[in-house]
Amino acid sequence: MTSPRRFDTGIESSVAVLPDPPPYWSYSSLREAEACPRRYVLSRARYPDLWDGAGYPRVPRVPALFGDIVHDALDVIVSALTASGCDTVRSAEAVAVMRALGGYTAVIEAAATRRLAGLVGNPRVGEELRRRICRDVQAHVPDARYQVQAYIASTALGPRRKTAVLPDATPGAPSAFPAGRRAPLDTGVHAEVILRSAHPRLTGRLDLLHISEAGADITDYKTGTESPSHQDQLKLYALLWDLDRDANPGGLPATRLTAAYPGHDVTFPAPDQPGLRAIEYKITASIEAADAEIFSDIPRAVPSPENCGSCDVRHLCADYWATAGPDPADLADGTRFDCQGLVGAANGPRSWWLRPDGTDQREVLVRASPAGPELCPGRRVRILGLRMDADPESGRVAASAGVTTEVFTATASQAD
Amino acid sequence: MPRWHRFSARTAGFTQRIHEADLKVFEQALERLENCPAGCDASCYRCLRSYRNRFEHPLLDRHVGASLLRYALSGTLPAMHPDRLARSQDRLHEDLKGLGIPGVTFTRSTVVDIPGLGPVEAPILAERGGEQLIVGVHGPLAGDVAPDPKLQDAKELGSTRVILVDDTEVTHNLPFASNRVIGKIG
Repeated sequence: MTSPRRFDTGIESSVAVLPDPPPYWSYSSLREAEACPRRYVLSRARYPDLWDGAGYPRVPRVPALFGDIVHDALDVIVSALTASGCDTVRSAEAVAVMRALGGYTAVIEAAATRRLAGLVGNPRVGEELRRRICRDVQAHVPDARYQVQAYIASTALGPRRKTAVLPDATPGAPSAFPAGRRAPLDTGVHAEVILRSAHPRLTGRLDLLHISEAGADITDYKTGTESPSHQDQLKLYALLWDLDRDANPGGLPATRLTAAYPGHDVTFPAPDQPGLRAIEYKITASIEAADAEIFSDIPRAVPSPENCGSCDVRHLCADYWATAGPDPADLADGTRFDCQGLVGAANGPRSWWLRPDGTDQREVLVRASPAGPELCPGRRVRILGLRMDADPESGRVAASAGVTTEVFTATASQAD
Repeated sequence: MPRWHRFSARTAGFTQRIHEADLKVFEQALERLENCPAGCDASCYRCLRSYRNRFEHPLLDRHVGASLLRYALSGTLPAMHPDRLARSQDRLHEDLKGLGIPGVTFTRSTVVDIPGLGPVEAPILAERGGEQLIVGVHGPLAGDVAPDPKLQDAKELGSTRVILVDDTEVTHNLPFASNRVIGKIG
């Protein structure tokens, strides 16, 4: 047994215990590892000095939370509809299912409550930020309700022959299938299906799988705008369906793939066998490369505006801070930016001078709102989410720190 | 009445008089709001307006105030007067029709048969090809709750899309309200 690999991020309480590659790669995790291996490992590492949670705590963004909540609600509704044997969403049976669930709004509110409960204990989400996120999410419930209803209205179910067979047996439960094997999926409609393949090591969670004698149709709900990557993901699901001999022992082909967006669907034919083999070859190579990257002592960073702009662990990544950021003095009023530097003297009860790294940069006056962070003079810090706050009368370079601004203190080894 | 005492330095006498009047002052205010002597649409000098609040005149709405006051006094859930609701729906319908969107029809007050729910009156029905979207208006104090129970069921249980627009948007920002509907039609 090898000892855990540790990575010093240079930030207090943030020594990362690096993860090994996952037993199975998903489409999204593989894409993330390809885009920036450093981000992948730092996001999924353990931080025992910081918290007991899995990975580095994430700062939730309301649009992403909205998408998760819509997706969760769809999972609940589609699973209930298929489990009750509804042939179509346009039926009295479907209305009865929805009535039993309490209606769209109740399902969405329950999904929102579950997601928001996950914020409790997150060291990056203070009480004020949590309150604001909850309020913003609550305000979006009517929009989420409309979006879920639009998805459901365009969902095609279909005849179902047997009671649902759970694709993932409960661990420890008696099973008619050999240990480690999963039940084959019968004809009909299945929601939330997990497929796996051992070679290559792949897994995927399909929103909707419609199996008929002719083949399998796969539908994935997409809450964002259309993207070519959605089609790539569906093609990967077609490959998974082809490779998963537990769920698909007869090798039934995938036929149609659908990316379901609010208000419209994009449907296209599944790749044929040569097409699937080409995808398999490419994915196998990607997995080998990703495994090698993850196993390295210092996983490679790929700093770029696309990768770092919304990266939740950029404050832990020396390569991000090594790329020359703009001089705050050159930024337009209202611009949000990150800054690394040494905290100087206090200017007032809630304001401090910050000397940014880089000899040519002028000192920045950081003014914190009552809900904003506090700075400690003499500490070297990395600050995320400052906002330029022009002060034309004094000519000073000033920035404001609000409830979403985060301050991370460098360890002694980085402070010199 | 602990909150009223916050203003005691300037308004102690007024607060005292309200306190002595007990609920009567609210009941009379409600009567005035619900039955403005001038029968105004939203507000006038016979009900809510005065010289002092002249900058807020466009925002004052006696129907909304009456709904809130009635809820505070009796717990009656805020509801819009049917005439007011109909006027808002008419305005929104006319505006949507006037936009002349190719391939989309807007029908006022029509019945839609929703599987499992039966006939439901759609205040406005938008149709494009075979797709339907029911458009309704909800009161400003009843966010995303349809004034008609059948429409509320359609919104929460049905497979036909339903969107509710806030009456305040229709009254004060009709283009915004219409754009929101258009955005949902796609």
